[in-house]
Amino acid sequence: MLAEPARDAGPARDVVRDWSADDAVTALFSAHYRGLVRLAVLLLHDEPAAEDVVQDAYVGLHRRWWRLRDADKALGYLRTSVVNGARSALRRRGVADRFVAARRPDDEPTVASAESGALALLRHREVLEAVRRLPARQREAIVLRYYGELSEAEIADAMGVSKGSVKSHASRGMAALRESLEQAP
Amino acid sequence: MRMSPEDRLRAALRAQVDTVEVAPDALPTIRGRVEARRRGGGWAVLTAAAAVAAVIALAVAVFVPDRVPPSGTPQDRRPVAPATTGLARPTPPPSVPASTGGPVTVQLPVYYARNDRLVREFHDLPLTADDDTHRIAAAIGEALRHGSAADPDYLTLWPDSVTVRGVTIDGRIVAVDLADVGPGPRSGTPALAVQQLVSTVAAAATYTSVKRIDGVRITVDGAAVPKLWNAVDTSRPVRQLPPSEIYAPVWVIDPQQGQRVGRTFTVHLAGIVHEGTVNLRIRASGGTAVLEQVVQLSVGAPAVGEARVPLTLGPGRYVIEAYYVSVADGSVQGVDDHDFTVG
Repeated sequence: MLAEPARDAGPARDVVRDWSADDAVTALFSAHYRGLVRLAVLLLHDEPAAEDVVQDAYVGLHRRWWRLRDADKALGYLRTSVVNGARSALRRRGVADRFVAARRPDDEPTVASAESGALALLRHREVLEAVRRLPARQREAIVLRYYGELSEAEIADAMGVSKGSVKSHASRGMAALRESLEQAP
Repeated sequence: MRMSPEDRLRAALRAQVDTVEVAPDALPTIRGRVEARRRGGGWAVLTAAAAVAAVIALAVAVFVPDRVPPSGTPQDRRPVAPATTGLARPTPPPSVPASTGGPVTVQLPVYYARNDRLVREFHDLPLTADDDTHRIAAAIGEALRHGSAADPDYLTLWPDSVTVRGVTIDGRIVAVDLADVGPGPRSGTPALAVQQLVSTVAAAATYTSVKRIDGVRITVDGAAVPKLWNAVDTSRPVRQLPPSEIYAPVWVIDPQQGQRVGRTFTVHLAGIVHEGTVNLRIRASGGTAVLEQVVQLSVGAPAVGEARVPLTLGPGRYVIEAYYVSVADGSVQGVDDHDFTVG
Protein backbone atom coordinates (compact mmCIF):
# COMPACT_ATOMS: atom_id res chain seq x y z
CA MET A 1 0.00 0.00 0.00
CA LEU A 2 2.90 2.31 0.53
CA ALA A 3 4.42 3.77 -2.53
CA GLU A 4 8.03 4.00 -1.69
CA PRO A 5 10.43 1.34 -2.89
CA ALA A 6 11.84 -0.97 -0.29
CA ARG A 7 14.27 1.09 1.71
CA ASP A 8 14.50 -0.49 5.08
CA ALA A 9 16.79 -3.36 5.88
CA GLY A 10 17.77 -6.26 3.83
CA PRO A 11 18.31 -6.15 0.13
CA ALA A 12 19.57 -9.53 -1.04
CA ARG A 13 23.02 -10.34 0.26
CA ASP A 14 24.67 -10.58 -3.14
CA VAL A 15 23.32 -7.13 -3.94
CA VAL A 16 24.67 -5.83 -0.64
CA ARG A 17 28.11 -7.25 -1.36
CA ASP A 18 28.17 -5.31 -4.60
CA TRP A 19 27.42 -2.04 -2.88
CA SER A 20 30.09 0.57 -2.85
CA ALA A 21 30.73 2.29 0.46
CA ASP A 22 28.65 5.20 -0.85
CA ASP A 23 25.76 2.90 -1.72
CA ALA A 24 25.97 1.30 1.71
CA VAL A 25 25.88 4.62 3.51
CA THR A 26 22.91 5.76 1.41
CA ALA A 27 20.92 2.56 1.92
CA LEU A 28 21.69 2.24 5.60
CA PHE A 29 21.01 5.92 6.16
CA SER A 30 17.58 5.52 4.68
CA ALA A 31 16.85 2.41 6.71
CA HIS A 32 18.32 3.20 10.10
CA TYR A 33 19.42 6.78 10.56
CA ARG A 34 16.33 8.02 12.32
CA GLY A 35 16.12 4.99 14.58
CA LEU A 36 19.75 5.37 15.57
CA VAL A 37 19.29 9.06 16.29
CA ARG A 38 16.38 8.20 18.55
CA LEU A 39 18.47 5.59 20.29
CA ALA A 40 21.22 8.14 20.79
CA VAL A 41 18.73 10.69 22.12
CA LEU A 42 17.65 8.18 24.75
CA LEU A 43 21.27 7.60 25.73
CA LEU A 44 22.33 11.24 25.63
CA HIS A 45 19.20 13.31 26.02
CA ASP A 46 20.60 15.85 23.63
CA GLU A 47 19.36 15.88 20.04
CA PRO A 48 22.19 17.77 18.33
CA ALA A 49 24.79 15.67 20.13
CA ALA A 50 22.83 12.54 19.22
CA GLU A 51 22.92 13.43 15.52
CA ASP A 52 26.64 14.10 15.71
CA VAL A 53 27.24 10.71 17.25
CA VAL A 54 25.18 8.94 14.60
CA GLN A 55 26.79 10.86 11.76
CA ASP A 56 30.20 9.86 13.13
CA ALA A 57 29.01 6.27 13.03
CA TYR A 58 28.05 6.53 9.34
CA VAL A 59 31.34 8.15 8.43
CA GLY A 60 33.07 5.29 10.23
CA LEU A 61 30.88 2.81 8.40
CA HIS A 62 31.95 4.26 5.09
CA ARG A 63 35.56 3.72 6.07
CA ARG A 64 35.01 0.12 7.10
CA TRP A 65 32.52 -0.98 4.50
CA TRP A 66 35.06 -2.95 2.52
CA ARG A 67 35.46 -5.18 5.56
CA LEU A 68 31.80 -5.45 6.56
CA ARG A 69 30.07 -6.08 3.23
CA ASP A 70 26.93 -7.18 5.02
CA ALA A 71 23.87 -5.17 6.00
CA ASP A 72 23.38 -6.96 9.33
CA LYS A 73 27.03 -6.58 10.30
CA ALA A 74 26.89 -2.97 9.23
CA LEU A 75 23.89 -2.34 11.44
CA GLY A 76 25.72 -3.98 14.33
CA TYR A 77 28.69 -1.76 13.65
CA LEU A 78 26.49 1.34 13.60
CA ARG A 79 24.84 0.41 16.90
CA THR A 80 28.15 -0.23 18.58
CA SER A 81 29.49 3.06 17.28
CA VAL A 82 26.46 4.92 18.56
CA VAL A 83 26.70 3.39 22.03
CA ASN A 84 30.42 4.15 22.17
CA GLY A 85 29.92 7.61 20.75
CA ALA A 86 27.24 8.35 23.33
CA ARG A 87 29.57 7.24 26.12
CA SER A 88 32.30 9.52 24.83
CA ALA A 89 29.89 12.42 24.49
CA LEU A 90 28.72 11.93 28.05
CA ARG A 91 32.31 11.87 29.23
CA ARG A 92 33.05 15.01 27.27
CA ARG A 93 30.12 16.61 28.91
CA GLY A 94 31.89 16.01 32.17
CA VAL A 95 29.61 13.36 33.50
CA ALA A 96 31.62 10.19 33.71
CA ASP A 97 29.19 7.45 34.43
CA ARG A 98 26.02 9.07 35.48
CA PHE A 99 23.78 11.56 33.79
CA VAL A 100 22.74 13.97 36.48
CA ALA A 101 22.82 17.25 34.61
CA ALA A 102 20.74 19.89 36.26
CA ARG A 103 17.53 20.37 34.37
CA ARG A 104 16.99 23.58 32.58
CA PRO A 105 13.45 24.82 32.04
CA ASP A 106 13.66 23.88 28.37
CA ASP A 107 15.27 20.56 29.08
CA GLU A 108 12.06 18.62 28.77
CA PRO A 109 12.01 15.19 27.25
CA THR A 110 12.20 15.58 23.52
CA VAL A 111 8.89 15.98 21.80
CA ALA A 112 8.59 17.56 18.43
CA SER A 113 5.24 17.02 16.84
CA ALA A 114 1.78 15.76 17.30
CA GLU A 115 2.89 12.18 16.95
CA SER A 116 2.88 11.29 20.60
CA GLY A 117 2.08 14.56 22.18
CA ALA A 118 2.99 16.25 25.40
CA LEU A 119 0.26 14.49 27.27
CA ALA A 120 1.88 11.12 26.72
CA LEU A 121 5.15 12.51 28.01
CA LEU A 122 3.53 13.86 31.12
CA ARG A 123 2.17 10.41 31.74
CA HIS A 124 5.62 8.92 31.38
CA ARG A 125 7.57 11.60 33.17
CA GLU A 126 8.38 9.63 36.32
CA VAL A 127 9.59 6.66 34.36
CA LEU A 128 11.71 8.76 32.00
CA GLU A 129 13.26 10.61 34.90
CA ALA A 130 14.14 7.31 36.52
CA VAL A 131 15.72 6.04 33.29
CA ARG A 132 17.81 9.18 33.08
CA ARG A 133 19.09 8.67 36.61
CA LEU A 134 20.38 5.19 35.85
CA PRO A 135 24.13 4.63 35.57
CA ALA A 136 25.18 4.70 31.94
CA ARG A 137 25.66 0.95 31.43
CA GLN A 138 22.30 0.15 32.96
CA ARG A 139 20.64 2.80 30.86
CA GLU A 140 22.27 1.39 27.74
CA ALA A 141 21.08 -2.12 28.52
CA ILE A 142 17.56 -0.91 29.30
CA VAL A 143 17.27 1.31 26.22
CA LEU A 144 18.68 -1.30 23.85
CA ARG A 145 16.38 -3.94 25.28
CA TYR A 146 13.13 -2.05 25.66
CA TYR A 147 13.47 0.57 22.96
CA GLY A 148 15.72 -1.24 20.50
CA GLU A 149 14.02 -4.60 21.16
CA LEU A 150 17.40 -6.24 20.73
CA SER A 151 18.36 -9.71 21.89
CA GLU A 152 20.84 -10.22 24.71
CA ALA A 153 23.50 -11.16 22.19
CA GLU A 154 22.87 -8.05 20.11
CA ILE A 155 22.96 -5.85 23.21
CA ALA A 156 26.20 -7.49 24.34
CA ASP A 157 27.62 -6.80 20.90
CA ALA A 158 26.50 -3.16 20.93
CA MET A 159 27.79 -2.55 24.45
CA GLY A 160 30.99 -4.53 24.01
CA VAL A 161 30.32 -6.67 27.08
CA SER A 162 29.37 -10.28 27.78
CA LYS A 163 25.80 -11.53 27.73
CA GLY A 164 26.08 -12.10 31.45
CA SER A 165 26.93 -8.45 31.99
CA VAL A 166 23.97 -7.43 29.87
CA LYS A 167 21.73 -9.55 32.03
CA SER A 168 23.10 -8.03 35.19
CA HIS A 169 22.97 -4.43 33.94
CA ALA A 170 19.41 -4.92 32.69
CA SER A 171 18.16 -6.56 35.84
CA ARG A 172 19.74 -3.96 38.07
CA GLY A 173 18.33 -1.26 35.84
CA MET A 174 14.86 -2.76 35.98
CA ALA A 175 15.10 -3.08 39.74
CA ALA A 176 15.96 0.60 39.99
CA LEU A 177 13.04 1.48 37.74
CA ARG A 178 10.60 -0.81 39.47
CA GLU A 179 9.17 1.77 41.81
CA SER A 180 8.44 4.37 39.16
CA LEU A 181 7.06 1.70 36.84
CA GLU A 182 4.74 0.41 39.52
CA GLN A 183 3.44 3.93 40.05
CA ALA A 184 3.08 4.69 36.35
CA PRO A 185 -0.45 4.96 35.06
CA MET B 1 -6.09 -3.46 30.97
CA ARG B 2 -3.04 -2.82 33.15
CA MET B 3 0.20 -2.95 31.19
CA SER B 4 3.19 -4.89 32.47
CA PRO B 5 6.08 -2.82 33.87
CA GLU B 6 8.12 -3.76 30.81
CA ASP B 7 5.43 -2.48 28.47
CA ARG B 8 5.10 0.72 30.47
CA LEU B 9 8.83 1.19 30.09
CA ARG B 10 8.59 0.58 26.35
CA ALA B 11 5.74 3.06 26.05
CA ALA B 12 7.66 5.70 27.99
CA LEU B 13 10.83 5.35 25.93
CA ARG B 14 8.92 5.51 22.69
CA ALA B 15 6.91 8.50 23.84
CA GLN B 16 10.13 10.32 24.52
CA VAL B 17 11.65 9.88 21.10
CA ASP B 18 9.03 8.80 18.60
CA THR B 19 8.68 12.41 17.57
CA VAL B 20 12.37 13.17 17.22
CA GLU B 21 13.04 14.56 13.79
CA VAL B 22 16.39 14.33 12.14
CA ALA B 23 18.24 17.15 10.45
CA PRO B 24 17.03 17.49 6.85
CA ASP B 25 20.60 17.78 5.64
CA ALA B 26 21.96 14.81 7.58
CA LEU B 27 22.82 12.67 4.56
CA PRO B 28 24.54 15.49 2.66
CA THR B 29 26.44 16.27 5.86
CA ILE B 30 27.65 12.70 6.17
CA ARG B 31 28.64 12.66 2.51
CA GLY B 32 30.47 15.93 2.93
CA ARG B 33 32.45 14.51 5.83
CA VAL B 34 33.24 11.36 3.89
CA GLU B 35 34.36 13.48 0.98
CA ALA B 36 36.49 15.69 3.21
CA ARG B 37 38.16 12.60 4.60
CA ARG B 38 38.85 11.35 1.09
CA ARG B 39 40.38 14.64 0.09
CA GLY B 40 42.39 14.55 3.25
CA GLY B 41 44.35 11.73 1.68
CA GLY B 42 43.63 9.02 4.23
CA TRP B 43 41.97 5.95 2.95
CA ALA B 44 41.96 6.58 -0.76
CA VAL B 45 40.63 3.56 -2.56
CA LEU B 46 37.61 5.43 -3.81
CA THR B 47 39.10 8.71 -4.77
CA ALA B 48 38.39 8.08 -8.43
CA ALA B 49 36.36 10.75 -10.13
CA ALA B 50 33.61 8.21 -10.68
CA ALA B 51 33.15 7.80 -6.96
CA VAL B 52 32.92 11.53 -6.48
CA ALA B 53 30.36 11.69 -9.26
CA ALA B 54 28.40 8.92 -7.57
CA VAL B 55 28.23 10.94 -4.38
CA ILE B 56 26.94 13.94 -6.27
CA ALA B 57 24.44 11.88 -8.23
CA LEU B 58 23.14 10.38 -5.02
CA ALA B 59 22.89 13.72 -3.28
CA VAL B 60 19.15 13.64 -2.92
CA ALA B 61 17.62 14.25 0.43
CA VAL B 62 16.30 11.05 1.90
CA PHE B 63 13.92 11.09 4.79
CA VAL B 64 12.74 8.26 6.91
CA PRO B 65 9.18 9.11 7.67
CA ASP B 66 7.52 9.08 11.02
CA ARG B 67 5.67 5.86 11.07
CA VAL B 68 3.12 6.31 13.75
CA PRO B 69 -0.20 7.94 13.14
CA PRO B 70 -0.53 11.26 14.92
CA SER B 71 -2.00 10.66 18.32
CA GLY B 72 -3.97 13.77 18.87
CA THR B 73 -4.02 17.42 19.50
CA PRO B 74 -0.85 18.52 21.23
CA GLN B 75 -1.51 20.07 24.58
CA ASP B 76 1.34 22.48 24.88
CA ARG B 77 0.87 24.80 22.01
CA ARG B 78 1.98 28.32 22.39
CA PRO B 79 -0.29 31.11 21.23
CA VAL B 80 0.28 32.17 17.68
CA ALA B 81 -0.09 35.51 16.01
CA PRO B 82 -3.70 36.31 15.13
CA ALA B 83 -4.73 34.89 11.81
CA THR B 84 -4.99 37.32 8.99
CA THR B 85 -7.73 37.29 6.43
CA GLY B 86 -6.98 35.49 3.24
CA LEU B 87 -3.49 34.59 2.29
CA ALA B 88 -0.62 36.17 4.06
CA ARG B 89 2.18 37.09 1.72
CA PRO B 90 4.87 34.54 1.78
CA THR B 91 7.46 34.99 4.43
CA PRO B 92 10.94 33.82 3.58
CA PRO B 93 11.04 30.06 3.97
CA PRO B 94 12.40 29.16 7.37
CA SER B 95 15.31 27.01 8.14
CA VAL B 96 14.97 24.06 5.77
CA PRO B 97 17.95 24.54 3.55
CA ALA B 98 17.46 24.97 -0.15
CA SER B 99 18.94 22.37 -2.40
CA THR B 100 22.07 23.20 -4.22
CA GLY B 101 20.72 22.99 -7.74
CA GLY B 102 18.83 20.37 -9.66
CA PRO B 103 15.55 18.79 -8.73
CA VAL B 104 15.22 17.27 -5.29
CA THR B 105 13.04 14.36 -4.36
CA VAL B 106 11.69 14.25 -0.85
CA GLN B 107 9.60 11.55 0.69
CA LEU B 108 6.53 12.97 2.34
CA PRO B 109 3.39 11.61 3.99
CA VAL B 110 0.16 11.86 2.03
CA TYR B 111 -3.28 11.02 3.33
CA TYR B 112 -6.08 9.30 1.44
CA ALA B 113 -9.40 7.77 2.41
CA ARG B 114 -10.46 4.17 2.60
CA ASN B 115 -13.82 3.13 3.97
CA ASP B 116 -14.46 6.65 5.23
CA ARG B 117 -11.28 6.67 7.28
CA LEU B 118 -7.97 8.30 6.57
CA VAL B 119 -4.93 6.25 5.69
CA ARG B 120 -1.42 7.31 4.82
CA GLU B 121 1.18 6.55 2.22
CA PHE B 122 4.66 7.94 1.79
CA HIS B 123 5.41 9.27 -1.66
CA ASP B 124 8.63 10.41 -3.26
CA LEU B 125 7.77 13.89 -4.44
CA PRO B 126 9.91 15.99 -6.76
CA LEU B 127 10.39 19.57 -5.65
CA THR B 128 11.57 22.44 -7.81
CA ALA B 129 12.93 24.07 -4.66
CA ASP B 130 13.34 22.45 -1.28
CA ASP B 131 11.81 24.68 1.33
CA ASP B 132 8.93 24.46 3.77
CA THR B 133 6.22 25.77 1.47
CA HIS B 134 7.25 23.61 -1.46
CA ARG B 135 7.24 20.53 0.70
CA ILE B 136 3.77 21.19 2.04
CA ALA B 137 2.45 22.23 -1.37
CA ALA B 138 3.82 19.07 -2.98
CA ALA B 139 2.17 16.87 -0.37
CA ILE B 140 -1.17 18.62 -0.80
CA GLY B 141 -0.98 18.42 -4.58
CA GLU B 142 -0.32 14.70 -4.35
CA ALA B 143 -3.10 14.08 -1.82
CA LEU B 144 -5.68 15.90 -3.90
CA ARG B 145 -4.72 14.34 -7.23
CA HIS B 146 -7.05 11.60 -8.33
CA GLY B 147 -5.27 8.29 -8.91
CA SER B 148 -2.10 9.26 -7.06
CA ALA B 149 -2.48 6.64 -4.32
CA ALA B 150 -0.33 3.54 -4.69
CA ASP B 151 -2.97 1.33 -3.16
CA PRO B 152 -5.95 0.92 -5.48
CA ASP B 153 -8.25 0.88 -2.46
CA TYR B 154 -7.17 4.35 -1.42
CA LEU B 155 -8.61 7.46 -2.96
CA THR B 156 -8.66 11.17 -2.66
CA LEU B 157 -11.95 12.68 -1.62
CA TRP B 158 -11.36 15.83 -3.65
CA PRO B 159 -12.88 16.41 -7.09
CA ASP B 160 -10.75 16.08 -10.24
CA SER B 161 -10.99 19.77 -10.95
CA VAL B 162 -9.33 21.03 -7.78
CA THR B 163 -5.96 22.73 -7.98
CA VAL B 164 -3.64 24.26 -5.40
CA ARG B 165 -2.98 27.92 -6.15
CA GLY B 166 -0.56 28.53 -3.36
CA VAL B 167 0.61 27.68 0.11
CA THR B 168 1.88 30.12 2.68
CA ILE B 169 3.02 29.67 6.22
CA ASP B 170 2.09 32.09 8.93
CA GLY B 171 3.50 30.89 12.22
CA ARG B 172 1.71 27.69 12.99
CA ILE B 173 -1.08 28.34 10.54
CA VAL B 174 -0.69 27.03 7.02
CA ALA B 175 -2.79 28.84 4.44
CA VAL B 176 -3.83 26.83 1.40
CA ASP B 177 -5.40 28.61 -1.54
CA LEU B 178 -7.41 26.32 -3.79
CA ALA B 179 -9.23 26.75 -7.09
CA ASP B 180 -12.04 24.84 -8.79
CA VAL B 181 -13.16 23.04 -5.67
CA GLY B 182 -16.43 22.06 -7.37
CA PRO B 183 -19.79 21.68 -5.69
CA GLY B 184 -18.66 19.03 -3.22
CA PRO B 185 -16.21 16.21 -2.54
CA ARG B 186 -15.74 13.29 -4.91
CA SER B 187 -17.01 10.95 -2.26
CA GLY B 188 -17.20 10.75 1.49
CA THR B 189 -18.30 13.62 3.64
CA PRO B 190 -17.11 17.19 3.11
CA ALA B 191 -15.72 17.16 6.64
CA LEU B 192 -13.56 14.12 5.97
CA ALA B 193 -12.33 15.58 2.67
CA VAL B 194 -11.20 18.69 4.53
CA GLN B 195 -9.56 16.50 7.17
CA GLN B 196 -7.71 14.65 4.40
CA LEU B 197 -6.21 17.98 3.42
CA VAL B 198 -5.56 19.09 7.00
CA SER B 199 -3.94 15.78 7.95
CA THR B 200 -1.69 15.91 4.94
CA VAL B 201 -0.60 19.43 5.79
CA ALA B 202 -0.04 18.54 9.45
CA ALA B 203 2.00 15.48 8.56
CA ALA B 204 4.03 17.21 5.87
CA ALA B 205 4.69 20.09 8.25
CA THR B 206 6.55 17.75 10.57
CA TYR B 207 9.09 17.50 7.75
CA THR B 208 9.62 21.25 7.78
CA SER B 209 10.79 23.79 10.28
CA VAL B 210 7.12 24.42 11.12
CA LYS B 211 6.95 20.99 12.81
CA ARG B 212 3.55 21.41 14.33
CA ILE B 213 0.59 23.29 12.97
CA ASP B 214 -2.36 24.79 14.74
CA GLY B 215 -4.65 24.72 11.74
CA VAL B 216 -5.09 25.11 8.02
CA ARG B 217 -6.68 28.23 6.62
CA ILE B 218 -8.48 27.29 3.43
CA THR B 219 -9.29 29.91 0.82
CA VAL B 220 -10.62 29.61 -2.70
CA ASP B 221 -9.33 31.83 -5.50
CA GLY B 222 -7.56 33.94 -2.90
CA ALA B 223 -10.73 34.75 -1.01
CA ALA B 224 -11.97 33.62 2.36
CA VAL B 225 -14.80 31.08 2.24
CA PRO B 226 -17.04 30.95 5.29
CA LYS B 227 -18.31 27.47 4.49
CA LEU B 228 -16.55 25.24 2.00
CA TRP B 229 -19.12 23.36 -0.11
CA ASN B 230 -21.71 25.00 2.14
CA ALA B 231 -20.83 22.36 4.68
CA VAL B 232 -17.52 22.83 6.49
CA ASP B 233 -16.72 25.89 8.55
CA THR B 234 -13.66 27.38 6.89
CA SER B 235 -14.13 30.88 8.26
CA ARG B 236 -11.21 30.16 10.57
CA PRO B 237 -8.25 27.79 10.37
CA VAL B 238 -9.42 24.19 10.41
CA ARG B 239 -7.88 21.99 13.06
CA GLN B 240 -7.31 18.27 12.93
CA LEU B 241 -10.09 16.22 14.48
CA PRO B 242 -9.19 13.65 17.14
CA PRO B 243 -7.47 10.64 15.56
CA SER B 244 -10.15 8.22 16.71
CA GLU B 245 -12.65 10.11 14.59
CA ILE B 246 -10.71 10.19 11.35
CA TYR B 247 -7.98 7.57 11.14
CA ALA B 248 -8.21 3.94 10.14
CA PRO B 249 -8.22 1.75 13.25
CA VAL B 250 -5.21 -0.46 12.46
CA TRP B 251 -1.99 0.36 10.67
CA VAL B 252 0.86 -1.90 9.64
CA ILE B 253 3.76 0.53 9.75
CA ASP B 254 6.57 -1.96 9.09
CA PRO B 255 7.17 -3.89 6.98
CA GLN B 256 5.89 -1.59 4.32
CA GLN B 257 4.24 -2.62 1.10
CA GLY B 258 6.85 -4.19 -1.15
CA GLN B 259 9.61 -4.02 1.44
CA ARG B 260 12.43 -6.55 1.63
CA VAL B 261 13.55 -7.36 5.16
CA GLY B 262 16.20 -9.55 6.75
CA ARG B 263 15.27 -12.87 8.31
CA THR B 264 14.98 -11.25 11.70
CA PHE B 265 12.92 -8.13 11.55
CA THR B 266 10.48 -6.14 13.61
CA VAL B 267 6.83 -5.73 12.83
CA HIS B 268 5.62 -2.29 13.84
CA LEU B 269 1.90 -1.90 14.36
CA ALA B 270 -0.22 1.00 15.46
CA GLY B 271 -3.89 1.35 16.03
CA ILE B 272 -6.79 2.95 17.78
CA VAL B 273 -8.65 -0.07 19.04
CA HIS B 274 -10.51 -1.25 22.10
CA GLU B 275 -8.05 -2.11 24.87
CA GLY B 276 -5.27 -1.95 22.32
CA THR B 277 -5.82 -5.52 21.18
CA VAL B 278 -4.80 -6.21 17.59
CA ASN B 279 -4.48 -9.48 15.70
CA LEU B 280 -1.43 -10.11 13.60
CA ARG B 281 -1.32 -12.71 10.87
CA ILE B 282 1.41 -13.50 8.37
CA ARG B 283 0.68 -15.64 5.35
CA ALA B 284 3.20 -17.29 3.08
CA SER B 285 2.86 -16.78 -0.66
CA GLY B 286 0.55 -19.82 -0.95
CA GLY B 287 -1.88 -18.24 1.49
CA THR B 288 -1.03 -20.51 4.43
CA ALA B 289 -0.88 -18.64 7.72
CA VAL B 290 2.61 -19.05 9.18
CA LEU B 291 1.98 -16.88 12.20
CA GLU B 292 -1.09 -15.75 14.06
CA GLN B 293 -0.95 -13.94 17.31
CA VAL B 294 -2.69 -11.35 19.40
CA VAL B 295 -0.65 -8.24 19.97
CA GLN B 296 -1.16 -5.82 22.80
CA LEU B 297 -0.63 -2.23 21.74
CA SER B 298 0.87 0.21 24.24
CA VAL B 299 -2.48 1.86 24.87
CA GLY B 300 -6.10 1.38 23.85
CA ALA B 301 -8.62 3.63 22.10
CA PRO B 302 -9.09 6.53 21.87
CA ALA B 303 -5.31 6.97 22.01
CA VAL B 304 -3.00 5.67 19.32
CA GLY B 305 -1.27 2.55 20.61
CA GLU B 306 1.82 0.93 19.21
CA ALA B 307 3.59 -2.39 19.36
CA ARG B 308 6.77 -3.84 17.99
CA VAL B 309 6.97 -7.55 17.46
CA PRO B 310 10.36 -9.07 16.65
CA LEU B 311 10.02 -12.01 14.24
CA THR B 312 12.23 -14.42 12.38
CA LEU B 313 11.03 -15.98 9.13
CA GLY B 314 12.63 -18.00 6.36
CA PRO B 315 13.24 -16.42 2.98
CA GLY B 316 10.18 -15.95 0.80
CA ARG B 317 7.28 -13.71 -0.01
CA TYR B 318 4.69 -13.00 2.64
CA VAL B 319 1.62 -10.96 3.38
CA ILE B 320 1.27 -9.32 6.77
CA GLU B 321 -2.23 -8.56 7.98
CA ALA B 322 -3.27 -6.67 11.07
CA TYR B 323 -6.86 -6.32 12.16
CA TYR B 324 -9.06 -6.24 15.18
CA VAL B 325 -11.99 -8.39 16.13
CA SER B 326 -15.24 -6.59 16.74
CA VAL B 327 -16.28 -6.68 20.36
CA ALA B 328 -19.89 -6.54 19.19
CA ASP B 329 -20.05 -9.48 16.81
CA GLY B 330 -16.63 -11.14 16.58
CA SER B 331 -16.14 -10.06 12.98
CA VAL B 332 -12.76 -9.12 11.53
CA GLN B 333 -12.45 -5.38 11.15
CA GLY B 334 -10.03 -2.76 9.94
CA VAL B 335 -7.66 -5.03 8.01
CA ASP B 336 -4.44 -3.44 6.88
CA ASP B 337 -2.12 -5.65 4.84
CA HIS B 338 1.21 -5.37 3.09
CA ASP B 339 3.17 -7.70 0.82
CA PHE B 340 6.80 -8.06 1.77
CA THR B 341 9.78 -10.28 1.12
CA VAL B 342 12.16 -11.92 3.56
CA GLY B 343 15.78 -12.59 2.63
